Amino acid sequence: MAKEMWENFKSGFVKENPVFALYLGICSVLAITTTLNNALGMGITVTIVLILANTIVSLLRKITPNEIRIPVYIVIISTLVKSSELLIKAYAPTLDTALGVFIPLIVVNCIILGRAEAYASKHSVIESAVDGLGKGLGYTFGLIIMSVIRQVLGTGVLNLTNPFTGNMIFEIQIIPADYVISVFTQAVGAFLTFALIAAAVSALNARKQTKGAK
Amino acid sequence: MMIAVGFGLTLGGIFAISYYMNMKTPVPEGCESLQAACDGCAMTHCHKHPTHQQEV
Amino acid sequence: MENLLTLAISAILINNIVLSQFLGICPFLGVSRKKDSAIGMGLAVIFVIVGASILSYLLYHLVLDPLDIEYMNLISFILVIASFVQFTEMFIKKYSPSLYKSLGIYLPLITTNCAVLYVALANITSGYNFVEMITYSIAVPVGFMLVLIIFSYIRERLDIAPVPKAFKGNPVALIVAALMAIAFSGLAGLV
Repeated sequence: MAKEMWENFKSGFVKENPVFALYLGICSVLAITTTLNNALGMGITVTIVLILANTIVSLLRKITPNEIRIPVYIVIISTLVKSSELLIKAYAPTLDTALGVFIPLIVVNCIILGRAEAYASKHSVIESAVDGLGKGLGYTFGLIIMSVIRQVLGTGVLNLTNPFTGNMIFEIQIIPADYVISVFTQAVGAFLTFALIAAAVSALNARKQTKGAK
Repeated sequence: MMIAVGFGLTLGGIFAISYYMNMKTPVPEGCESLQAACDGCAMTHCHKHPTHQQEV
Repeated sequence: MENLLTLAISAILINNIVLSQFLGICPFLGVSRKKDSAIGMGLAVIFVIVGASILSYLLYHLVLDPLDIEYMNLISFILVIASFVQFTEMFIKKYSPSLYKSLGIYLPLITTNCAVLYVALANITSGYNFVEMITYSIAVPVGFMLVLIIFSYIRERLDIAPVPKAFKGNPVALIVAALMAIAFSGLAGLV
């Protein structure tokens, strides 16, 4: 059982990466990844909500009537998301203004409902929590890659601020300001970066499969 | 606070009842074999998704 | 009147829900492979967004606001949207098989479409009055349908074109979306 858990956990990063392989939760990925701060903030929030949602769904899996699973999951997830939105508004207001409407939109993030339905409703609490952690970290990983590429190419600067206190943690100028490709901070750059990374992941998975078949 | 909880549970109940009633109403004849042309759709909770077909 | 027209044009063309706001992309990539499914999906989205926005707006202003429980907006809206979709699907199944054939099958997909919840929330946070709310709620899904139909025409061609294997399917579709995003961003000077 432990080996399955570990396999499941690992698969969240490349093979079944929610963002680039399963194409779940794309709306937030494209909109959020303009800066590394936003990406980390969103990724961590989604990971925590995913772990809690998976745990609660798994705890209640024996007593939820089978026909109304989806309504129950939606009530659980929307309560969790609203609570985290209020907590973020209170303790990390800069993150709240940066992410804006995308925090409430975590409710309809396909990853959370999808994992609750596909995994947490059929596995034990610990397995579901580990699955939530794996998929959430895979999502965060995807967000970080996209935001680093977009921010470095689009603004040349890579920085990180502590959302709770507003202090800058680090700031590096990687490309001088005259040579940035500012299109990466806009819609076009988002779609383009995402398409290229998705193609790279798909090629990687295909190569692994042919290697495995041989 | 209690009003909010009661309100939320009432709406959840309405959703649950409508979801259940919807699952039970039969698809009109001639339409059973329709598949939404949504291949590769990631929304596993949608009841048209292939993962649900064997249950129903 | 001009105010409403500006609102509509900016919602359809300039701040297009798919190409500028990045909402509604999950079903967008899934359904846009054929023209007919694109039209069916587009009409279904228009109907759901208009209906759900009206219900959410009324719920907020008549119930949540007077009772001082505005913080329930997210939970109430998603449940109202979901119930509305279920009731609509039931209604269509019973009374109009032809309508069910063309757009009923896409209805469940729209429950978790980011665009629906976004419009419901935006109507409140932007403080629209009733008429502005109706205009905005009709304009946004019209913009969605416009882009969806254009996209489906292009995708039908792409499916038979010699695309490199790594790009087949969604990656090349996203590159097409990138090009469309540039095209639409050129309309920004319209208003």
